[in-house]
Amino acid sequence: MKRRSFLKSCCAAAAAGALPGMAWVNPLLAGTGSNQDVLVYLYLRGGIDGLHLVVPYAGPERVAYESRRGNMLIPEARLRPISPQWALHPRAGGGPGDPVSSTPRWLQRLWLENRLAIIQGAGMPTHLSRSHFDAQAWMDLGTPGNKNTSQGWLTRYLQQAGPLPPALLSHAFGFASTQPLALIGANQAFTVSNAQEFRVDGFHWSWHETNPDLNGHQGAHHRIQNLWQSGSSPLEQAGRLAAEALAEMRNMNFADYQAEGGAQYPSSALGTQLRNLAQLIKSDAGVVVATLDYGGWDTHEGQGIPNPGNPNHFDFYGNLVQGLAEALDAFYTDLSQSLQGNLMNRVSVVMLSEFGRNVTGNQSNGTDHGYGNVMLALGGRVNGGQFHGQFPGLDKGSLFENQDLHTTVDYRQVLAEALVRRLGLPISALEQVFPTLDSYSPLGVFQA
Amino acid sequence: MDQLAGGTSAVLSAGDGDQIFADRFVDQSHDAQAFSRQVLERFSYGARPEDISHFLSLGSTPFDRLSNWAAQQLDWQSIDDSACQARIDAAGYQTLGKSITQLWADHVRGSQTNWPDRYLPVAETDAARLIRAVYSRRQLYEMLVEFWHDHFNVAGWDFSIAPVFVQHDRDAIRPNALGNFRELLEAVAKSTAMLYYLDNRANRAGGYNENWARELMELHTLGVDVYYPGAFHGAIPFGDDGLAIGYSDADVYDVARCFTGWTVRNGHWNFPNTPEYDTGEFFYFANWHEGGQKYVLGQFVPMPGQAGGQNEAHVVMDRMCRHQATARHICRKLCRRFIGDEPPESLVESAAAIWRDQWEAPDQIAQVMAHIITSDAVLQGLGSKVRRPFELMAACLRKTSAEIQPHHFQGWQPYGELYSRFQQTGHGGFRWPAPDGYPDTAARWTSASVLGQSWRLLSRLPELRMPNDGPFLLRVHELTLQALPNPADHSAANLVNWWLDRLIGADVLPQRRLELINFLRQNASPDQPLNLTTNPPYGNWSAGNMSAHYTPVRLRAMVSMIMMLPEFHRR
Repeated sequence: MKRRSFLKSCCAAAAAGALPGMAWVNPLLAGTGSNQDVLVYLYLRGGIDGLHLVVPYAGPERVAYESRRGNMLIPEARLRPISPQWALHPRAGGGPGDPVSSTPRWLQRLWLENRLAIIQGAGMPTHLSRSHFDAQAWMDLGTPGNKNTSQGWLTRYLQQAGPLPPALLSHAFGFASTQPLALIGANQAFTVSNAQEFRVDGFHWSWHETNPDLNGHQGAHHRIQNLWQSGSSPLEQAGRLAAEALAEMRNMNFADYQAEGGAQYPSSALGTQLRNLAQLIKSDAGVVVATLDYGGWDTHEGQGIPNPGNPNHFDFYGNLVQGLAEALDAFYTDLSQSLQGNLMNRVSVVMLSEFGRNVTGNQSNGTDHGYGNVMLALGGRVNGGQFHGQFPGLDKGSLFENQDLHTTVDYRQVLAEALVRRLGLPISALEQVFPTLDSYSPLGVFQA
Repeated sequence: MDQLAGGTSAVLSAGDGDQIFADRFVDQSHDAQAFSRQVLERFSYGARPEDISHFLSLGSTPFDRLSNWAAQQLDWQSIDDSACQARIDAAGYQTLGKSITQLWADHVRGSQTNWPDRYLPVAETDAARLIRAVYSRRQLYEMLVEFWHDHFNVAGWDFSIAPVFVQHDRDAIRPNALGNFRELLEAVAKSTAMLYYLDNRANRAGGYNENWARELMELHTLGVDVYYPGAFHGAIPFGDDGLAIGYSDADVYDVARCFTGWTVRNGHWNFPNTPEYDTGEFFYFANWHEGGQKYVLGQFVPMPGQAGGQNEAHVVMDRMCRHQATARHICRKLCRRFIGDEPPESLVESAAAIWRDQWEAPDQIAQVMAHIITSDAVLQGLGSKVRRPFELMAACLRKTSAEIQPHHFQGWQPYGELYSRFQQTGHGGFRWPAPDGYPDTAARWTSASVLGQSWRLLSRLPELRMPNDGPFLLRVHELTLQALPNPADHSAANLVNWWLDRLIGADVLPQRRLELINFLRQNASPDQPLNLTTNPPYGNWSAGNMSAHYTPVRLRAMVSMIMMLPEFHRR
């Protein structure tokens, strides 16, 4: 039976997807859950200042931090400590009006529950570019130093993956308007910026799916797939995927989705996309990898110093951090508290950025492009509440070109570990995914 | 420019590629028609019958017509565009004529909290852009304006940029779009929008801000292909022009230092506390300029002396503009825009040679465009580009003789809805956040999201009408009755054929044509006339006979479906 007819016979189940916890199961799975792990690749576009998110709190690195950080320095009293020597930016754990002593929320809570891990010194040790576009392209393509690679790293993973559960639409979702580089070259990857508005509904002749009063009536939107039949150009192939996607997404009723566990998704693009992704995961739609972007981190100017407890203090960077923290907390809560069970046990989120920023701020209360940075990982099978990798050091001898944090961890090692330990990729297949990664050296971020 | 001056295929008889013209365009009228249409789909926002007739009148051979058409279009100021300007005037936009000082006073200082006012300048620029794409007779010029907006992208709807965006478009991009790149670059460097977007307004001595300098070298001029990360001064080899063939971070830092003090009269507390320092204009603030020796592209920047520190930026812009890497980088982008996603390297090189030779010519860009348009590569590339959503929308409006007067903030119907749907395609006007501008390859514009959202827009387009049952924006009904006045000619097959010719004009796959006919005819035969004229614009309910059920609406839906065809998505 074709997917389409399967779906039509499951209309009642699809409607039930609007009820909490009662997400309908992918009909292609015949009622059994797939138990498939999902890897979420969340890119913090623009170069997040990791030293502003995970900040030295005490000890020798704090001394070095205070001597070098210039006007970007955050006083200890405005930080939320998470270990004797390290602290988080206060907005990762509370709103602008919350004093740092208030009950930890969001990312700080997830750290305390050992679900959030921090990787220090991450980046591209083999290559340097302070260009956003080169560095992002290298990372997304998985080939540092080469941006002419025709496939993204996730595209190559999908080619190497063993048998995957049948997908309703695609094993790969890119939450963006244009095809993300990490999935470039994957013809089956599905890219959508907003799931609930992804429907052709403008025709008068698309008012009705079917109308019993009108014998033979069929809305014009049913014809789109036929219009794109035949033809083998990349455009025509892409069009057929889009037409099929429109038909299938129409049945999923994204607008009426209700989150579980009291999760409150922010109304931002990231919040909406994570909510859509949670619904796809609960529906067992076959998503294996998903990419999302959360941008705005290119803080050359007015980066801001937090002032927790003062609700009227404007903090550009802090607002971004809170936007990220709230969205991830909602996603985690929604999936981990699902009536289907703790779905976060098979979902891992990896967050990274193209480079860190210059240790010493510039004259416009901002920071210019730098090098080494933090990465974050979140999930039920993440070894959280701990640091991984090695902090490269803020003392003069450790800095890169006397100005930036160095790199001690190749970002590909973290991604490779997620592929091997969570998605079950054989180690021998890694060289296909990351052709210039010489060896596999897992840091222990993920549980096997 | 001998090709343009000569303008005949005889001039081109030497060289391999010229044979292609001779082979493929034996001057049969059908080929001539098809060729003219393909050229116009490529180099304008959509070929209409009157455009094709005009093109065909421009000479006796395909190449004559092409080169004459290019010469006319590139001499854009000689094209009378008063009808288009009259439409813009009639729309009643309030901000397009305001000087930067007025924009600053009214929309920055005057509207800190008044939300629509703050965004009116970018909104009206965006509205005028659509009018120009649809109605301007300077079609190629408008495409170059779009190209340079992508090249020198600023986030137009940013809080700081929106109120001054008019100046960026009107005073920096538009006057120079077919002119001289050095002048264009200088105007952009001084545009208040760019000074905010890439932070150069805050770039000052003792802690320079590299944002503008880096993108200037990486995106606007030399290109990242010649970026040597981490190289020391003097470590990069020299080219035949005496300049280093590329740049490193050290060059970025020194270029940033050259631009220290290029800022905006924005009332900064370092400036004298008088009104003339809060006008929104560019100015050079010497107190912020960082002294000391600078070394850029393999040469020291001469100490400024009498010329003043401001001159250092002029010197480095000169170096970048005459640099071979800049010529290649920009010519490759132009070829990608107008020839194909992977343009032939030989064309990039020959265009770059002209670019470099003519770097001081007032019509440098026009000369390069003439070379590209009349190159043999044009023939191979025709039809290979995928229309981006703005081009799709503009083509739909042009080809259906639409009447539009868009406004962003005047209600939902019709333009609120139009822009809402258009922005979902990911190609909203001046909304790309990063400085590299909207992408220009098919792979980035054929995602399910872009195509699905484009179809969502196209499905609605023929139904959009002015408030209170006013006229439809697209003249589907009128054009149909004009072309086929006799009701006996209103069979589904005739209607589909006429609209396919009007909108696409080239072959579409037979099964696609059949699909359109089947949808339009319902239970009628393909040759049986349909009733389009009873109770327009929607027609009647007719449950027992679907061929009579809301027939005029079905005609408009069929037109939408043509706009969704693969053949319509190419240019």
